[in-house]
Amino acid sequence: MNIRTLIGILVVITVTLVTFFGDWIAPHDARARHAVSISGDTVIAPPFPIGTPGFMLGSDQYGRDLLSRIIVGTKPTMLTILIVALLRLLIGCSVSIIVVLAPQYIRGVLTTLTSVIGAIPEFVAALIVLTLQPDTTLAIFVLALTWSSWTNVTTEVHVQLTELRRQPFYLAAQSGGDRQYSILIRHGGRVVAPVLQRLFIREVRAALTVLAMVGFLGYFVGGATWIIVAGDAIPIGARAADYPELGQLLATSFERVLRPEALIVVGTYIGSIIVGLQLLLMQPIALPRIRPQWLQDAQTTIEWWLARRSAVWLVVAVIALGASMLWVITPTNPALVADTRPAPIIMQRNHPWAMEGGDASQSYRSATLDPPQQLETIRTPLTITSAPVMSARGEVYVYATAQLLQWHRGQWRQFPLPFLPIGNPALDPTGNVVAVAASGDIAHISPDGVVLRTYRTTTRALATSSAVVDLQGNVAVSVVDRIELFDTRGTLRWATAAIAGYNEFPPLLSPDGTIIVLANQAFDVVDGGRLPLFAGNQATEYEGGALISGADGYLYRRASHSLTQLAVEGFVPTELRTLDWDAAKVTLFFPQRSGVTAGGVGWQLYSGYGSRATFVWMYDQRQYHTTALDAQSRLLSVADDATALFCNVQRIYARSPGTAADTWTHPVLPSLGSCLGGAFSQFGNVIAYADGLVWYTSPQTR
Amino acid sequence: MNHPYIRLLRVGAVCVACLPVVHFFGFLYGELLAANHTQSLLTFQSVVASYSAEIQLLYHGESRIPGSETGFIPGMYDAFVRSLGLYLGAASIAVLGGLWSGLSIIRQHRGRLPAWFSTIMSTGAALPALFFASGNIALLYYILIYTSYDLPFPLQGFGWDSHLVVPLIALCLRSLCSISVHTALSLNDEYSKPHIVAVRAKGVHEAQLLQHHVWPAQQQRIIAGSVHELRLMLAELIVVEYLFRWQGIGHHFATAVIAPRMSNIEAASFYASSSVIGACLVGFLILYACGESLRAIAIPRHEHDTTFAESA
Repeated sequence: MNIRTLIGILVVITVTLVTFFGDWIAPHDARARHAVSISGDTVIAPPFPIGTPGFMLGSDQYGRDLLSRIIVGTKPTMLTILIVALLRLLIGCSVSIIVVLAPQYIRGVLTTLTSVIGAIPEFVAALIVLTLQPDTTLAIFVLALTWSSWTNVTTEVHVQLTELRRQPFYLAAQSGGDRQYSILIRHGGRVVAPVLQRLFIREVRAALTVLAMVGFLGYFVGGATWIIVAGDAIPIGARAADYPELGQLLATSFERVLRPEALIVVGTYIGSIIVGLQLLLMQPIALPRIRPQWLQDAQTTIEWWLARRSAVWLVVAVIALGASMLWVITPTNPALVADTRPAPIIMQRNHPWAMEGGDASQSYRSATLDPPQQLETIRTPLTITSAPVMSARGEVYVYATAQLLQWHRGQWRQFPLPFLPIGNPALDPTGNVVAVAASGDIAHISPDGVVLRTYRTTTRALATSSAVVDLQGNVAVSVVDRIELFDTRGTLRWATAAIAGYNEFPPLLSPDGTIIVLANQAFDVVDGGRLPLFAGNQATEYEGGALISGADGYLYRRASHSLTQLAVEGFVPTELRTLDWDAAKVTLFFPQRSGVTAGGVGWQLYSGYGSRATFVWMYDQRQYHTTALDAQSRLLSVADDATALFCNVQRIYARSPGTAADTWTHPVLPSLGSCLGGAFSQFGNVIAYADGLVWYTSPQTR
Repeated sequence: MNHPYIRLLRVGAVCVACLPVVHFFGFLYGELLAANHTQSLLTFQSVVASYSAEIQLLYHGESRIPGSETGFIPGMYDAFVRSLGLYLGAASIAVLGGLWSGLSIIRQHRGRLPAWFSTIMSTGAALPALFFASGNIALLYYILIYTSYDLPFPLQGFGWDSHLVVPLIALCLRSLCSISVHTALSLNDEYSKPHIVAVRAKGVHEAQLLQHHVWPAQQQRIIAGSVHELRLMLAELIVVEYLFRWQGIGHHFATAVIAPRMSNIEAASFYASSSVIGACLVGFLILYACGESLRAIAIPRHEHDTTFAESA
């Protein structure tokens, strides 16, 4: 036995020990998160670097010990690989035997099939299956790594069997009248057995390689949930798995490209296993002859028996396969993890706000969204540049570049604005329009088009959002990185402290009007003081705020695919329940808009530019429905019964949860521009397109 | 009928005939991906309707690369050329370097390959390009962050070749090792045959021996092995382009089929884009045909190798 084989055997023994005894060897619980590592006076926050006391290989960004995760993660990985390798051998050997024994036409079919499947690279074949099946369970992984790769075994075994058929004793037995299958049974095992050892090692190595490659790209056994973690400048999404697996460790470590230690450690570990197996492949393993004669005889007998009795191989393989599956399923299958979340809470409160002017939750106050019985298209005199708002008297306001358009008593009126507005118009309680310019100018305009007063933002000469007006008439706007609140006379009441980053979204008021939020920060409406409600929340969002107000009267914290309901009493939040959905099932584009209906049904709109959009309704206990939208579709509103109303260039349509088709659809006139948004009131509903307005009325809402 | 040009034409004809089939299946794959993503129902009629609409858009030149204003065909052509450059560059280095190193080692150590050579080369051949790529990335970051040295090669080129050096190295190393060890083993087998020993005993010059006796006998085996490596390299092209953000068809394909782990607009635009997946698979087929062409020219059809099909 040379040094290479010895190294290979040592690697295999080490990996085997780690596989079966990893849970006892690991210094820490692989899932335990450590907030800090304290060494003397030094306090280190995760991720701990290599060499941190107690964390020899450091930790991941959640403070989980990397060494423990590697050790524990070896078990599911290697046992998955073992199952895959055994399956490949079984299928490959079976096909090659069938090819030898089968009639000519079946042989031709199988030969062609094997050649075609074998032409697809293993990695691509695995990737196709894994991308089509978002549930990355063990069964899916085994299927992905097996379905095309058995052809290598078939080819090798078939070559051996073909050689066997050319042997004189085979031809003699055949001419003597023996059947082919009986000759194969008698001699095939002896010929194939020596090859199987090499094939098995090769398949283990090949499967591990592919597993590492797909893991690197974010597909690993068990899957994971996507969470959003704050980056230095741009928030990034990360995929975090609970139970470790080597592919998962590669996937998550690669996200830390600026600190590649974890990547190197995990990659080296996997690479070492591959190299060890390769070293074993380079030379046939011949065990050294042992000295006592009786042991030598026993060894010879066992070798002969194993080589001759090919059926025993089959039985051993099947038993190993079943045992491995049982072993793996128990600790790693996420489906077996008990759901420990609290019981659902029935919501009683209703939304207290008026709908005119739009509210944060984008939910409609109507019980249902019935199809319109009358659709009227009204062309605006100018191309419009904002979504509309509707006043309590039924007037519609919309921007057209530097003009304010008003639809009043069946005709359009144009009012020049003193500046170029941004965002959408807002309405104050007296029915005046509040317009904001990027330069920081704010103007109140009466329904007759008279500019009542103007004033400017103070801490920054730049406004970055539309205005939000509360029931007392106070006007709040986002100013780059803070909120400024003005009273009805235009006097600055307060400006908040700076929040992290640039914000171009309007601030949101809590249902009871005591809290104003922007992104994931909350402030007291009275003095603008920052409230320590949500400090430490690492989740953030790309669009809209991490805090939203639901139409059911509660505040919600949005984090990726979940909405956590918060009851805020005296600025103290209490978490009531969480609405979420299994984001691992679907690729996530981060939600663009979210809300909760008065009935307590949460919804999120996921979309990506130039791609498809997904709308998700979320209920308690992980019950949810999704629907596919085209990328041009825009959400208009969600009714109390969770019916969602959308528009795109061609039509206005409604979808209800649990139904694949539209609840109703209504075409709009062709050649209209893209849909900009809508406004709803007791006087009717208006939906705005870039080059005109489509107004529809519904008897339920009149 | 067995002339190399005829065989080359046959490969070309098969490739052209397969193009629409591959494009359709790529499109279908994209539609399935999108349907899974949105958990919506997909019917054969809807796929056919979408496909015919896609073909019409392509025909009229109205299709666009997702997320950009670039025309679809010019954009994908540009991506294909980038991939072709990377693939052919890596393939050339791997094949020429592998043959050269195999020949060199066999000249110096005829009869028995040195242990270090077979160990290093076999190990290199076992490790996928992914490891070389991530190793390169880690090395680059280490140099950039922890040292004051300049990078030994440019990170930014002067045009389309930006970042070419590092992915090229990552892509070609495994194949180079594999071809090298394959060449050395093949030639070593031939050198140990009695007729070669006899010819050498007659005093024939080593160069003549190699050129007229050893190489012709093993040429088909070596080329078949090299073509097999090129096929594997095609799969690794996807990973390497994705890791290095090399804007070729491998990158586009990976971006279109792999769930984006970061919320960037490019990934969101490309994900589950049926047209991109279809076009990328067509590009892969053409690259695949490059390797098969080499096989067709160098190896007569009836002597390809002792593959499963032949032995059956």
